[in-house]
Amino acid sequence: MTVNLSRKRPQCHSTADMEIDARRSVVLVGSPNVGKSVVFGNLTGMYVTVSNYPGTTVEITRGRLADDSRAVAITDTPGMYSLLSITEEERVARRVLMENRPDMVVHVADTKNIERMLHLTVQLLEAGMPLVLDLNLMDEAERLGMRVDTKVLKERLGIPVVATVATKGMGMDELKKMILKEDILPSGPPLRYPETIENAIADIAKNLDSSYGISKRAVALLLLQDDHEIWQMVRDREPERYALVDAIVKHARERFADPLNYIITIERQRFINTLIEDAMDNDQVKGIPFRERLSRLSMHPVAGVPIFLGIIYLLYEFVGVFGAQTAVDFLEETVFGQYINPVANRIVSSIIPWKVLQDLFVNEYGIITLGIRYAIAIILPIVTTFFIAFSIIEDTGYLPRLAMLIDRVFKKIGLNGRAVIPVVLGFGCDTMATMVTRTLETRRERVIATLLLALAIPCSAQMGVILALLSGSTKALGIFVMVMGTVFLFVGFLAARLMPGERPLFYMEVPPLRWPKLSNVLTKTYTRVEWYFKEVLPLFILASILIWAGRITGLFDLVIKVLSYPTGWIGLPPEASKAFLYGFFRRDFGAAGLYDLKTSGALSGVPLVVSIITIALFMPCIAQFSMTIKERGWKMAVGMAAFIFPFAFVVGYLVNLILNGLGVVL
Amino acid sequence: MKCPLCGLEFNQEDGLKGCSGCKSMGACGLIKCPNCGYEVPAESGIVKFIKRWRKKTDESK
Repeated sequence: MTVNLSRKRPQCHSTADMEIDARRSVVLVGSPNVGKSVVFGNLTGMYVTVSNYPGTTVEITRGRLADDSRAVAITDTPGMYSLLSITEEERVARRVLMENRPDMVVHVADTKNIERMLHLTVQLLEAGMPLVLDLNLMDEAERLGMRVDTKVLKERLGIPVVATVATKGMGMDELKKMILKEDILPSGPPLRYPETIENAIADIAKNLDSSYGISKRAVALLLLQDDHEIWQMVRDREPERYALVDAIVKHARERFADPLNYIITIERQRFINTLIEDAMDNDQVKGIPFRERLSRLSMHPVAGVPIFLGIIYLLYEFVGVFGAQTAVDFLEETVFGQYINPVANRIVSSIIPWKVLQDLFVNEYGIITLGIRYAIAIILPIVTTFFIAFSIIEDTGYLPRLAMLIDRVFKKIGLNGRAVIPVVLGFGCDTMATMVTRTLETRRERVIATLLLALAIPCSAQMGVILALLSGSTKALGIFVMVMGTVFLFVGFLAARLMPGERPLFYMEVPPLRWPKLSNVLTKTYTRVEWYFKEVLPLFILASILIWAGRITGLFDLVIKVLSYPTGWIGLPPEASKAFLYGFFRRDFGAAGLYDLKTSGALSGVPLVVSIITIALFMPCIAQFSMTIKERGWKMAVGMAAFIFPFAFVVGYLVNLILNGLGVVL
Repeated sequence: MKCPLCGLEFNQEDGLKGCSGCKSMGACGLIKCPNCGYEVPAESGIVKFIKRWRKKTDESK
């Protein structure tokens, strides 16, 4: 037996350099952060070989486990969530399984997230792997009040199941013994899919002549799930049968309104749900810890709404009251009002004698006095406080829960659940979210999601300024949230009725709730603010230049005059029309225009709330509009704009009418 | 890095692959999760510098 041993240091050997000679090979697989490397370390000791997988920078670690009678080569693979690969690491891990034909595959799973982990277990069984399930991090799961009956899992899955705490060495002897002494036979697929899919699997398998290193059933499933690498493999290995396989997959796809990947994932989830129900100790489940209870409540269709509103309120207090009232007042009134603007006016007037050119840099709409002032004095403190709050929310794991909550609300109004992802992303940036709508499968979903994003989802920057505008009146905040929520549900409901179609289930992995880390929050906030400013400052300066050019040509005044009619109809002063024009450039630029009017005293009370609601519903910014054109085409983008523009003013008009009719004082 | 929305762990290089078809071609400085499409800004140069400096300090202790 020849073994090339080295200290645990990355070395660039090719796989051909490996000289670990063992008749028996075992591969460890599992998601990232499940303690796979610790399990590997426990099994192999400190002498291992690290090499790059050929043609990639992904590292594969190999080691050896031996006793008096047997030696086993152990391979640790990169993190893999699923056999359906997304990342390079996952592709490499899959190739290791396909090329090595191991005698045993040990799936290392995080017990506290067993529900998510079992998806890979199911896929490995479908792939015909001789599998052992290692339920690692058992101590953490027990601390959360979870108790998993490994016997039930063993019986139902037909494979050995070992409970371990690799960091403490617990259960490792049993695992070592299993690896050295037991011969595992593949147990076969644990579940059956709907008949159409099963028929397609059988037809595809019949037409696959080559060997793939995994079962033909698994290859067929990956083809049905549209895995590009597997498609390429089949194209290369089965040139004569490829067209037939392609026809079988297309035929199966046509039989379902939803993508087959979705149908297959949901079927696996159903199987896992029943398995978990039987394998988890119900008495323990009753004693759910506070964090888990909070997690469930935050996704509950009834309890989740007040939690969401509570978060919005805290956000409002932090951004609107602290960020806007303290920091903005100082920067706007003291720094810019008393120092920068007067000094800039004086310098520019002394250098440039022509009033027209002076206006480009200073005075009412100059680059310094409008563009840079908006960016630094108004937007900077507001978005910084908003990004601090957003980073905290992100770090706690609330965002996927918000997605699940919105999904449940979506179902009530008959909308498709998967549209939730771009809608949640829209709270960050609507332009990016509009691009993400392309990942939705049907035209119906894409159109509805794009419309809702353009109409009723304020982006993070606009949201920050809106919260600042609403500062000082929780009643105004309540009215804003209520109107926006009603519009969102009403338009979504209407759109879903006008465009009927399938409303399938939505499935998303939900990570555990956790305390945010200060270093993470600060890093994320700084990175976001820096990124935001790099993007926003040139645009604000460009907007100032365009306004300046518009004023010279008279176009600016003409547009302001045209816009002053609808703003007048909704009870706003003529100056408010400028803010709506700014809103075309960027949503936050428009909201900053309203902020200016508020601080000058030109806008307050009911008209202020009406203007905020109208500008939030109003046209998307230029970037989002051009993205809508790109993604949905000219006709659809113009059609949406033609609906949104009057709709925003109609809603503003109605809100003004109702609030004044009820005698509401804000 | 880890996606804050769906929890997928991926390399920054994988996060740039989702940008094909976008006009800015990755110049926006955002990293897109290859699974759900959630975008986060790439780590700032200053943050990277501070992390490297802290790592060096820790190693020298």
